[in-house]
Amino acid sequence: MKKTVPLLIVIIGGVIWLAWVFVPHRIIQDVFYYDFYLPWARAMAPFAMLLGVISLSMMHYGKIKRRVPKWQYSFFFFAGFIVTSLAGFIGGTQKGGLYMWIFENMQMPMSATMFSLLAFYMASAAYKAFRARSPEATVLLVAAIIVMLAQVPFGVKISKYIPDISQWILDVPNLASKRGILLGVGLGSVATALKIMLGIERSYLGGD
Amino acid sequence: MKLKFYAINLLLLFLIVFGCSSQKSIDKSNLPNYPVENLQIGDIPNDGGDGLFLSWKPLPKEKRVQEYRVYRGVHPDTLFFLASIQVNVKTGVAADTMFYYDSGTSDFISLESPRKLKYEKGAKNSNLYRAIPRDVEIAARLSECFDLYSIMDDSDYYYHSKKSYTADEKDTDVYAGMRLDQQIIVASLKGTPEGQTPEFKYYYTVVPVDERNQILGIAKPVSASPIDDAPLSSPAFYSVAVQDRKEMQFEWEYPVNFNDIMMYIIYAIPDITKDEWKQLNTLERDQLTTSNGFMLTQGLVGGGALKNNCVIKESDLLPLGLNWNNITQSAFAIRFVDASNNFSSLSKLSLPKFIDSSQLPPVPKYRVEDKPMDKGDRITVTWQEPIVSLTRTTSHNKNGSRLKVNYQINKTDAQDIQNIYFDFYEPDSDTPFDHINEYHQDNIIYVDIPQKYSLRNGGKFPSDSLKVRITINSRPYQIDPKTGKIIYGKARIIPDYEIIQYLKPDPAMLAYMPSKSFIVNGIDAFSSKNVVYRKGYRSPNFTKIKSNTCYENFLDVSVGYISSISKPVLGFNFVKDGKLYTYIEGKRYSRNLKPGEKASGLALVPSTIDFTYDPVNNTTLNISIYLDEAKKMLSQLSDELKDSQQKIAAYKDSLAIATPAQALIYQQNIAQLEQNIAQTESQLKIYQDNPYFKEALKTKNNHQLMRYVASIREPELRKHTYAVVRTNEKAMFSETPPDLDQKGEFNYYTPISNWFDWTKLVTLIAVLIFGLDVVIFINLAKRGKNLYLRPLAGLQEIDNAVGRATEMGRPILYCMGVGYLSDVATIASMGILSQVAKKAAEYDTRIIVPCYDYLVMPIAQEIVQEAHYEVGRPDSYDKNDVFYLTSVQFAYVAGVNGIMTRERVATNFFMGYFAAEALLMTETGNTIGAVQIAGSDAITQIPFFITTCDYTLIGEELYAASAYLNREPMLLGTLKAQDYFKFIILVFIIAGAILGTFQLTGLMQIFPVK
Repeated sequence: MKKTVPLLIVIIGGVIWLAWVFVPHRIIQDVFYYDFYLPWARAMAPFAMLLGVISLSMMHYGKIKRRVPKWQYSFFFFAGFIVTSLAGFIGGTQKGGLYMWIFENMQMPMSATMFSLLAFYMASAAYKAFRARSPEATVLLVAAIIVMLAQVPFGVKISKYIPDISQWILDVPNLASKRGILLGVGLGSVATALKIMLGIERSYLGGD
Repeated sequence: MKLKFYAINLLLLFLIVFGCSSQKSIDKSNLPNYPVENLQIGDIPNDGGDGLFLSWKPLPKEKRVQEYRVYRGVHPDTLFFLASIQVNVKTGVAADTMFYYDSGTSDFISLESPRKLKYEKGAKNSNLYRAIPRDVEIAARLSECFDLYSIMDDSDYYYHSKKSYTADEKDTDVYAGMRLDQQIIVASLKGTPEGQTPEFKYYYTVVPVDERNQILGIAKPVSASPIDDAPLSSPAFYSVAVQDRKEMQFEWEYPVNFNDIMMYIIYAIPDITKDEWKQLNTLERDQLTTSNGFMLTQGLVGGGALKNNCVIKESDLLPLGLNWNNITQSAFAIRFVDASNNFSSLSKLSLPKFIDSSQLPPVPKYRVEDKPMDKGDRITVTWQEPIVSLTRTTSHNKNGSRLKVNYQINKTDAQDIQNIYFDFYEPDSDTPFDHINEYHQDNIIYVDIPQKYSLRNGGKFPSDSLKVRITINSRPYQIDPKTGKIIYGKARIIPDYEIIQYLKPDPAMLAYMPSKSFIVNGIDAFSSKNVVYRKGYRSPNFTKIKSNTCYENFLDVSVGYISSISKPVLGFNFVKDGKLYTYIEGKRYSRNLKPGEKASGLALVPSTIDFTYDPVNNTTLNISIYLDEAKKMLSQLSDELKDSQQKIAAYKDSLAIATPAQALIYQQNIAQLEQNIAQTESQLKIYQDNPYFKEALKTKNNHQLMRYVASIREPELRKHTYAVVRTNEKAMFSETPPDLDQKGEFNYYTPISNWFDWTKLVTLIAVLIFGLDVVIFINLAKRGKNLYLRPLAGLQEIDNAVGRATEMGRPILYCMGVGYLSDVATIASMGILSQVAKKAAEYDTRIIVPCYDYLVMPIAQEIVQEAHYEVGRPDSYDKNDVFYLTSVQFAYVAGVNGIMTRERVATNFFMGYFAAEALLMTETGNTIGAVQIAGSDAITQIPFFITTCDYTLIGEELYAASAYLNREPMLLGTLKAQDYFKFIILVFIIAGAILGTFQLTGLMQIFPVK
């Protein structure tokens, strides 16, 4: 019973969503989607969010309580959480308030910092990828050099054919392999959806 | 104790930070004093008397202003937020003056309005308030200064309104009472007729707000009253005399403010020249028109929504005592009349252009169809076959003799083009030098032009234009009105249809560019517009929908379902101190509440609704939304009738003894009453005979009544007939004849909601075949058939990776990516988590699962717990190891990387959907020496995973992993079915490519493009 009812809901929901793709009728497109599904989804989201917040708080509380290594960091979680929440609830989330100030002056720079690290990691990853240890890696290296050179004026200086070759690499082998993967992904998605709808795949219910 | 110490320190830190940064409630006295300068107000000229404009000098950019807020009120001490004008904080406003126009309608009360009267943030004790609150008393007090309209959900009005009466004991009318949270009320300013003393005055101020959300100063309020003055004259007026038909055609443009223009009047002024007219002032023109000219025609324009043209036939002139010769010797002028009977000045004089009807644009042949396969809210009006037009060219080889030509196709969903034929001609040649059959329409063709027309012909730039003739091979179609299915006939070259364009050498662009000529069937259509009009079933007039260029051949007209109702707000009821108060029509009434009477704050709107249209009598029948009132309606009419008859009888009796003067008055009264009786009788008959009205009265309760009313009313409101006018916008126009049926009545069209999208039939068949495929392979697997699966190194290594973590005594990190529960990759990841968690539980190794989506977290917890229970190790499960981390992308990276380095994890699993964070996490994993297994369907991230991880599952391998690890027949069956289906797709791709190469596009066309 614990799994049958959710499974039934999923199967019925799956069939309705399948119908949503093929049936343009107002009952499916408007009545189901706008009048039923969206309000429910909006109503459910805050509860799920609360669940997440409780989980995170419990984890950090546990860390502080058990004095696990570097447990002091957990205080920062509570400090950030409380200050941001209060700033939002009391001062509002509009521009000019404390909440937005925290977002713009703390969260955004920190996110940007993390993102900027990507450049260094990319260089390191590129070094690993382009080491010509095998024929495949050599092909990768050559292709990458051509594509990179085509992006800068220096590439055209070397040879006027480099941009054309680069474009060919992007349009033919690259696009072909991309589409191959996409095809598999698309089919895999359909298969997974079908497995869920038929009740074969049940991992999302917890356990298998 | 130590914990308390940290907690207290933290609390203090928080209080200091919060106390320093939070905004204080700022009193007016504390406001920085930088109000806007030169705030002025004025009436918007020539409008409908509902508009005022504000102007002010913006603050310099150093003040870091992020918005200017406009406040409005009917008293300078109480101004409510009206609108916000956002500006760039860094650049400020470059102009010297800023403007705000308060015209038309603006929000009076909406769902975002505050519940109570509140000062504006940071302006306590000032005259600034937030928006008008949802407080009925305040709304009632303000209502007398505005025209209010309520916009509400139709179901709220039908089923959830409250039958209400005013506090005025004499007023027996029934109103529909609506709560303020059931509706949006919009307001427009009340104007004063020109020359009269303004009754209503509106106060405004503008407030600059800086980037800290701080009000920089409040300017002294300014006030004005909108004046309902005369509209402007027409900026352009054209006349054409069609000599063979003896018809005059007129077309005009509207001035900027045209919303309240209701009527046009066209005058004919004989024997006058344009120069003579120019020399006259407005008054002299009026005098001349009155003395010498005559009013030729007049008509409605409906605030600019109706047709802006008219035709006067010779037969129309006879009642005016005129003939065709009078007209041809006249010049013409137009003037507009607004809703308050203000007359605009006369337009410039238009001397007619004399033409024959053959010079008029051809009458468009149009068809009106339900847009196929939609939810029933679109009608397609098509006036032409598909249009193909060349848009630009570029050289495609060194010597410029090969051109890449881009073209554009305009066609409806139903129109199907098989081939487009492009014939390229040299100047003055009838033989094409190149013929292109475009069987696969990718909007690009390549054409080889003779070398002498090359753009790089030895430095000699060509001067002649190349002619291009375009013909189309398409399939005629019919749309099944019931199913929406398009039924195609056999393809044929569209008869009598060709498009000719010229490619002109353009020295500036160094390319051949299409010239302005766009010749369709021998007529240059470049300057003509196709204007679509429609007329509702209940409406007497056609209204304009859209003017389309010559490159468009159809218009999808939106005919939405009725979901809201707009009604004027007549007044407000509210209860205070045991009394019921009513504000209505600018008056205030009050009375004590009766014992047991329940009343609340409500907006009062009319309780009658337009129910149905009677085409015989050209009348719309109204009905009360309350059944008892609807039933009373007929008896009330009968009572009125009896009352009038009794009065007549009384007057007639009195006639005998009346004096001659009294007798005259009685006779007049009798005549008036007889007229009333005739009207009431006619009205009564219309209502009594109407079958829908009779049926409505048979319903049992209000709910049933309104369901019935909606079932009649709403489809009627969606019925329209259409017309197309082809015009050069200078009175050379041709209009389609009325779309009439055999009885001579208009054909009305209603969009139909379709049950199946036939363009997705192939997709559905493919899904069904795939489903069948899956069932077959599941059955085979169940019967024990050994299904071979290719080895996936990443999955085979899971055991080793978990084993390594066990040996090292370090935890495993399982990361499900930044996908949400609705992503297939996340669901696939859950299947893998189940297997990995089992192995980890078996080896008693800790598994950490930081979740990005809070909906995923409880499921992941359940999966890991179940895995521990399954292998008999419930004790080793720690709920806190599966937790929600954050839904912010880079914060998630920081969190995961922190966990990796702190916990020194031995194995990382990255399974799911990933974006830019993938490399950040895997590289960190690399630095701590963890074994990493990744799997994702995000194409952009797969290269990073391959580079930085030990094993990677690419795309669909991620989806297959669960089945691979589980080895359950059901799952294996789907995997195998997937492989075979992929093979089928591959066969179609190869076949399509081969057939397409030989111009056989049938197979390609079977499959939907999107």
